[in-house]
Amino acid sequence: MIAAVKPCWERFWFAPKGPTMLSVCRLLFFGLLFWNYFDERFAPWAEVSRAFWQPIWVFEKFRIPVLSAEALFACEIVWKVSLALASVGLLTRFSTATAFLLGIYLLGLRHNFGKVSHDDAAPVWIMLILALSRCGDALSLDAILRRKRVATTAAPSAEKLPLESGEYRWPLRAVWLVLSMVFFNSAIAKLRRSGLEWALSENLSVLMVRLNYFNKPTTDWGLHLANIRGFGQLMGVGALAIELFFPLVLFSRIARWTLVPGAFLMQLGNKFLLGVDFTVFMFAYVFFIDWGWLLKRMRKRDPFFAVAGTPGRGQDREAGGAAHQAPVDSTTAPT
Amino acid sequence: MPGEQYPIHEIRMSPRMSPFRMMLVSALALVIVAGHLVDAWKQKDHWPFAAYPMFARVNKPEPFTSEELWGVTPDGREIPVTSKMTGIMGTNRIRPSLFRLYRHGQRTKNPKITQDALLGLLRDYEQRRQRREHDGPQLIGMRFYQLKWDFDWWAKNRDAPQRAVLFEVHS
Repeated sequence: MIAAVKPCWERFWFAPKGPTMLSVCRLLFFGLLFWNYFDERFAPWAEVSRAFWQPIWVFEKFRIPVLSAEALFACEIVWKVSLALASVGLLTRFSTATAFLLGIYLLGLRHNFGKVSHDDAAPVWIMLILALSRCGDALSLDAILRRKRVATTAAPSAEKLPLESGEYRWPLRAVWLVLSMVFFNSAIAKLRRSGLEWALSENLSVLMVRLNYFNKPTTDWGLHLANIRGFGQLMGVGALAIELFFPLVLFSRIARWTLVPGAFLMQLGNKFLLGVDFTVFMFAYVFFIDWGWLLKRMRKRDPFFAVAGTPGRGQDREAGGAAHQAPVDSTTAPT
Repeated sequence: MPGEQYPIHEIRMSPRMSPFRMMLVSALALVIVAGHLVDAWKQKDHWPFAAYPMFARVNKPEPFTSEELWGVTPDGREIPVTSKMTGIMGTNRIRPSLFRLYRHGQRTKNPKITQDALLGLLRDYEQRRQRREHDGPQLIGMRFYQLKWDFDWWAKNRDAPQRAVLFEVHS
């Protein structure tokens, strides 16, 4: 049994792939996190009354304290710098690890006060995945510095090094897995707590109206849509189906083309119709875009990208020429 | 050689990953799956694992409640306390926190912890007002209300809920 599963497991996680997609995802994901949290302050958590302290398990188990305001401010600065460095790929191993370790503390802190929010758990997992990956091998300042170093030390052997590896595939798959578990768990929670009534009743229409009482969404479209007969049921069935079947994106290209945009639109709808903001979570969708393919198309259409990119041979293989694609890539390429 | 273009991502690695790295990745994948499944089974959150139970209960077109925090000015006026005034906690966290403390206080017949929490909020409000971190008026008290609405499909009664004070403090 194990002998039969092992090759499939290894092919799924570790089939060779070029580094472009992972590198673009690193650049965008950490860049978006940096942009999103740039204005956020963490030091004020030190001043919140301990009457509100209700530690989540990771803080309780490891007896993680709330640091002083000064220490939190220092952590905040280091974290934001590490996000920026991870995005541009400078000292990538160190900056991604720092981004994760300080991220799990700073982002986890607020969940000890009042309620556990669910928007930033997946990004924490993604930071861990990228910290363990080789996401800085391409499209990074580290790579440019490495190239200069190799050029000055004249190491001809570098040209013969392999340009595809499982190291560039597993992080993408791991992010897909995290998102699959998030959506799957969300569907299971609905089914266990409410059953199919969650989707087949007026539930979502009522929710859209209720949240207008206290969330004050950016538009009142929710009220209008809630009053359309059958709209709530349609949305309910759609949302539950997307969440329940989202793990199929791990194995099916069709699922990636349908369920991923569906989930994205669903969360966009949550924001504008319900006032429920999952912006940080939505950054994870960059891991579903085939940046190699996109860059290839852009280079063909716009000479700027052909010249400005000058990305080097490895990315050409992945992003520039289908003839050079490794066979395994062409069969298991992501969305 | 100097001056020659090398691939931007020249890397020194084997095309096949080391067994240790493959085991590490496999272990990570199993932890992600197992942790999430445990939370799905128990319907509990162990952040960053979670059961993601938000909005999982069925909503019906029937009366419903929410909580709100109001401040009392020296001349007896009431003003709604907004997230801007409450600092980093924000009203979205304060509401469930205070309600949890309120219920805990009722269960244990010890309302002091609830009063202390609200008093802490009031002091924090005033301190930050004096530091000009918000432009709210001076407050001498705070009231935690429960609001109740009859469900209306067009939310026409949004601004006219029935209000009941759950607890209050004065400085």
